[in-house]
Amino acid sequence: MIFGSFRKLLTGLYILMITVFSAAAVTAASEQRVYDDAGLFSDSESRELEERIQELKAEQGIDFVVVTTDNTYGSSTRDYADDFYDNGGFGTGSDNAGVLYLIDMDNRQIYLSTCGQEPIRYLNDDTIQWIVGGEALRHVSEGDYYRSALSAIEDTAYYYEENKNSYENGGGSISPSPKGADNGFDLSATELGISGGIGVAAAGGAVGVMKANRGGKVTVTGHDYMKKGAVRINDQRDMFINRTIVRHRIRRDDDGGGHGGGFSSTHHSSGGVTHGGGGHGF
Amino acid sequence: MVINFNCPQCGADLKYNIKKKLLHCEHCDYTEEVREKQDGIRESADEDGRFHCPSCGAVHDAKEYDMSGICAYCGAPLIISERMEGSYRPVKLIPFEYDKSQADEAFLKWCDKGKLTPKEFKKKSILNHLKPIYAPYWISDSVVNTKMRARAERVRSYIVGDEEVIETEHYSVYRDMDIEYENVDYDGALSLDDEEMHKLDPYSFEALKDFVAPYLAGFEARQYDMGAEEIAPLIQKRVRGYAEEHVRSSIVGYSSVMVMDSATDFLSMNMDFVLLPLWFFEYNYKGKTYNFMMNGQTGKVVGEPPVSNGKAFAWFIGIFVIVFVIALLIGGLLL
Repeated sequence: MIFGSFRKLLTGLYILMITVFSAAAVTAASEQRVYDDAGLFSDSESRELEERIQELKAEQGIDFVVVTTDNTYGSSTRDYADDFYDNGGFGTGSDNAGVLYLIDMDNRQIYLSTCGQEPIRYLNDDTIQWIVGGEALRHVSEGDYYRSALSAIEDTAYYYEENKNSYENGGGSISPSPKGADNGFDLSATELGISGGIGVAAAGGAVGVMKANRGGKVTVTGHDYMKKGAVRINDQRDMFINRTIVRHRIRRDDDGGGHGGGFSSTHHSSGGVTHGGGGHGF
Repeated sequence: MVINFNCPQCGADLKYNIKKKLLHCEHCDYTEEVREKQDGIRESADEDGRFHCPSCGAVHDAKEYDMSGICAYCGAPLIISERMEGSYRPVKLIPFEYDKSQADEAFLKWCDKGKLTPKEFKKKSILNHLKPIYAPYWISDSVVNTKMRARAERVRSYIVGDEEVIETEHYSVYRDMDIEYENVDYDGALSLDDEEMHKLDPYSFEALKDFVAPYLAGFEARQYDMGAEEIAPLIQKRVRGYAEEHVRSSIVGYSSVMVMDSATDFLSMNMDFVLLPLWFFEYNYKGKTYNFMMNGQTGKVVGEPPVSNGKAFAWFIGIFVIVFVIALLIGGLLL
């Protein structure tokens, strides 16, 4: 009957709508990347971070998660971070590639966890240390948690890009350098000041000499007044006292591993997933 | 009393001619050897207690330290004989080698050095201020003894296997030397800066002549105002420096030498008052005094030319910019 078919259609439509909306809801829910369990961010700050993370994903394809907690329930910071990532189903691709930044107020550690071939490769041990030891650490020590998370995102984006370029163009090797190193023409105020000082000293010295010599110079020495041949040596003694000997072994430069890193150490999380990562206390 | 010398042929004033090295009459070209004169001496009449020119009688305002000069009215030489008696009589003098035209040339060249010469210095009349002067000097011969003790090291280093070996031999060094110095000169005029005068050295003392008054005919000569007792310690200081430097330089063959102590004694020292030739210019312009001095025997020039602070500033900026840029680049590369 007509009403019967119409009802079926309506139900069908209804189910379809719910599925679509649920899927959307589920998808929306699974898009959350900022988990502020310790309540360190304001609402607007969380929103800012989410936005930045979406941008990062769109620009560089990095899936970034920010987590704060004030209780790890006995887990180490590393395990907490790794497990959170694994259980949250984050990451892209078959290897769930992504990065998680954790502010652990319980153990007072910040931690960066990497998962997936490319994040682990491009964020090696040294790089991770520069990230967690740099601006991110500075801000978290000052209690500025929002900015700490933001720095972690920015620095990760920066180094990821650097190292990726280095790898792809450098034929498979990564030689990262800490952010903020002078790349030739970064002019800090100190540099300008020192160069200026040297400039003034050199110019002042040169002009000073020019001025001093302008009026003529003394050109005589004792030799000019010495009567020729009128030097008599009454006594001349060079007496040997003793000899001292110092020996030291020459240091050979072959110990210590190669620096300039390129090495990423990895471990397995409780779920058996390979993670890289590193942290810093604050 | 002021004296000068008249030409036996025409009665004009005789002057010492630098190039001829003779007493010369500019009117009739008469010349004679320079020697102690017995005749042909004109004397001034000084009844009023002031100095007068023997040739024209005009009053001469002699400064305290003037032994001789030129009459401002008639240009005749003026030699104040009473100011060169006893211990104030020069023993010797070195005659001029460079004459007025050469001095003028050197002066004009010096003026131009700065490239920003004030117009004042371009006037011909400025050359009137450049005068030949006999400056008062003390010269000294001395014999000194210097004793010096030093510690010295000879260092050798070499590599044996994987060790670097540094061998140091320690020595105690002793020197005792006598050295003779001669004709060490020091200016005896307070108003002339000692360090500036020292820049005029060396003079060649082989040219020293026994002093006689005719050398001064046509020249300004100044008396000393710092006597032997005042100058002696200054000369000793210089000679001490020379002697110790020489003894120190005799310690050779070491990687390093450290002088522990040294002492210089003067075994003998004498001093003579002499006159040395100097082309001298002093001019006050816009509150600044410009000094030009040229060694009248060797031609060596001393004195700061009338130069621009503008030029100095330009140099400063130029060098500053270059060094600044280089420092930045190097800094960028290193860091």
